[in-house]
Amino acid sequence: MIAGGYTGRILRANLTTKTFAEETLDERLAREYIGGAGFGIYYLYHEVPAKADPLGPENKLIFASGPLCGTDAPCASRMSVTGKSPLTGAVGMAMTGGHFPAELKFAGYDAMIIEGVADEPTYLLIKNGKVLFRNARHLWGMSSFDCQHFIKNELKDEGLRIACIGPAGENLSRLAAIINERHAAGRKGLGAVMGSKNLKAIAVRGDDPVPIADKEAFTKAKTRMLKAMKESPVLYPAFAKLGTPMVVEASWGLGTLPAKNWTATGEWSPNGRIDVESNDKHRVTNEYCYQCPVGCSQLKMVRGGKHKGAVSVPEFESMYCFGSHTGVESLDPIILADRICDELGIDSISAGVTVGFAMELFERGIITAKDTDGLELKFGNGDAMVEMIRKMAMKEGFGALFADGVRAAAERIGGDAGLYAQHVKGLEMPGYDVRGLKAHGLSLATAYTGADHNRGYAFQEVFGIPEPYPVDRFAIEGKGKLTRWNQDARCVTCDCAPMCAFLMDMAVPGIALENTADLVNGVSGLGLTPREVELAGERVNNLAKAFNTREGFTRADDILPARLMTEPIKEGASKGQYIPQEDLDSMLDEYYEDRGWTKDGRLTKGKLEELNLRVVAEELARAGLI
Amino acid sequence: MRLHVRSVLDVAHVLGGKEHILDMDEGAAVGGLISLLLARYGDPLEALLLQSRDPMELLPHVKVYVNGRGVDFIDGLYTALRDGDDVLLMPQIGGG
Repeated sequence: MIAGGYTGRILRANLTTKTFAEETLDERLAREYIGGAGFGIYYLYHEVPAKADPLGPENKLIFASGPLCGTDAPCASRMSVTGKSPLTGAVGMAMTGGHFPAELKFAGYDAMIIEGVADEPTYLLIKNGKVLFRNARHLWGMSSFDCQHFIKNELKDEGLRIACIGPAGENLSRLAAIINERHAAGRKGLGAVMGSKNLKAIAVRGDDPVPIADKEAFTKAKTRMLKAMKESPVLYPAFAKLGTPMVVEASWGLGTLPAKNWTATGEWSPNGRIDVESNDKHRVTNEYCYQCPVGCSQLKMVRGGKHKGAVSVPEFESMYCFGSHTGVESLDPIILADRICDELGIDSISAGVTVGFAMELFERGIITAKDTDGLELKFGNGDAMVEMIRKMAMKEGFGALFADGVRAAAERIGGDAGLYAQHVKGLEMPGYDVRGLKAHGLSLATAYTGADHNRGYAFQEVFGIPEPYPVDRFAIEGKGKLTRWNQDARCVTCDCAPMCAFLMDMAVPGIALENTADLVNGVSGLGLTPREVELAGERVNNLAKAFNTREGFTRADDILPARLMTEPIKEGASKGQYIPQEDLDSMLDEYYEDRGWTKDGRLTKGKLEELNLRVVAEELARAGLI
Repeated sequence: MRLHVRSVLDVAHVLGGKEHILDMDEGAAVGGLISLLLARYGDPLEALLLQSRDPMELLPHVKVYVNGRGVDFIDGLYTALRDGDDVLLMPQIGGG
């Protein structure tokens, strides 16, 4: 029995049989995987068979938080959603914040495993240990915001926290997201998995506080973290006031803001268009996740013109995917596009990147107005962007062609279209032109979810933070080792413990593992060393790699989009930079060696056994995969 | 020689804009450029950039880039400047 931090219970709900069961959390699972993504990937690997159809009944969705979630540890209301991604075919894991993660703990569960397929639209109500399967036929087709409102009204409980899908998930768009409040487990198409299960929503409510094992130790750890936050040179007041759009400034400075489907990085200026001053003019207020003193979410509103009144919380990535990437120069359509993505339940990054991809195809004449239902899909056309997103989510007209992202669209269109598709393993690229950020590029090439900036964010290169050591962003040497550290430390600290990723960069980069160990030990009494915490991160990344190996992924999949490997950046502070195959190979060699994998990127029996993954080693050996 | 000096956020506010063209004598280094800026913009700029003025030491979270490369990986404040160089003064930024 774990003394605190965990509720000790895992909920397993089967939609086919409309039955549920409670399982006891194994202490070994807690010690070795901590929580969150660790739990999700553990169950994914062991319970979803190889080559399962991501949109079929064998796939599962695992919602999991960690021991810090629901306590008053700062910025820890985070939760992973894990399943096999219908977008990539690899591990699909996305994090979300807000209040739902903490509420799931208060309702009594560290994790819930959703399996099977309901025979009709269904939603789950989980309230203080009771689990009900409710008919959702009347909610099918509803936007995510209306769905949340409707369920609260129907159940006469404004305190419910709800995660749901919009029409994109119902329509099985492989870009579909799961929305809770204004937050999203956005990437990798997990909303489509939920839609494939006929599961419209999950509503949770609970009153049980999360027990604390060692209040004195927890208070001490929490005090140190709050002190680090207070002493951060950027968290207060800058980040609390400006939020993630601050990164537009860094990206402009470094010449790494991708523009016009990555053809105009360093040429297209965000200044006066999507920079912090432009954002600040639209800011209404801050929104806070549970137990967050920062409130970086910036609610913004369009104050005039034809989109007047549109409200959303666009982050830096929205400035990129709906702004620089598409060449749209005004925040108004960006705010509206962000709003529509949340309402219809489609991942904003992937949707925006797909629009920018279509724009380049249009400008090159590969597709024409005949193919786009008459839309003039030129760079900079904000109205066309908004309309295309709506069509993608609804799979209406030409939107159906692009509704599954750039890789699928390129395959459907054929010819040279694939040359202009910006993705890794099928996941659309986030807003960092990694030609000028080499470790960040290596992480996108090797992350178990594809081009996912949150799996190994190289804050050393983007922000110049010298932890665990300073690095030259243009250098190749040393980036393999750094990427391994970034992926493992971030995984355990942010995705498992869990903790908001922004704190890792801005408050505790130099003490991340020690800070995580002390907080987790304070709430749980597990007595983990910082080294054991780091090993948990390494274990999760290796188990995710094992899942992907079983699905057929190899070194050949650890690659970047063709443009980044052949075309140097033409202007700006990263002019001349790119990552040719030989540089990527050099970084991959170092990365695999530091990971203890083979030169061709395969897991090894020795490494898996060192991480107490003997069963996995035996299974992969039997299949001839190690 | 003519330099393209860029900055963001509070540093840009003090300098009155994100981009400036500055003329300096040939042979100047990054430290000399910062001294020139301090002479023009005084204490508000010093508070944002420096831990110590004599000897000059940047605040740990302030980064200076010349043509995109961090001067920590060139010659620090002694990094030589050339006509046409792009110099970026970057306070710490976070998020993403």
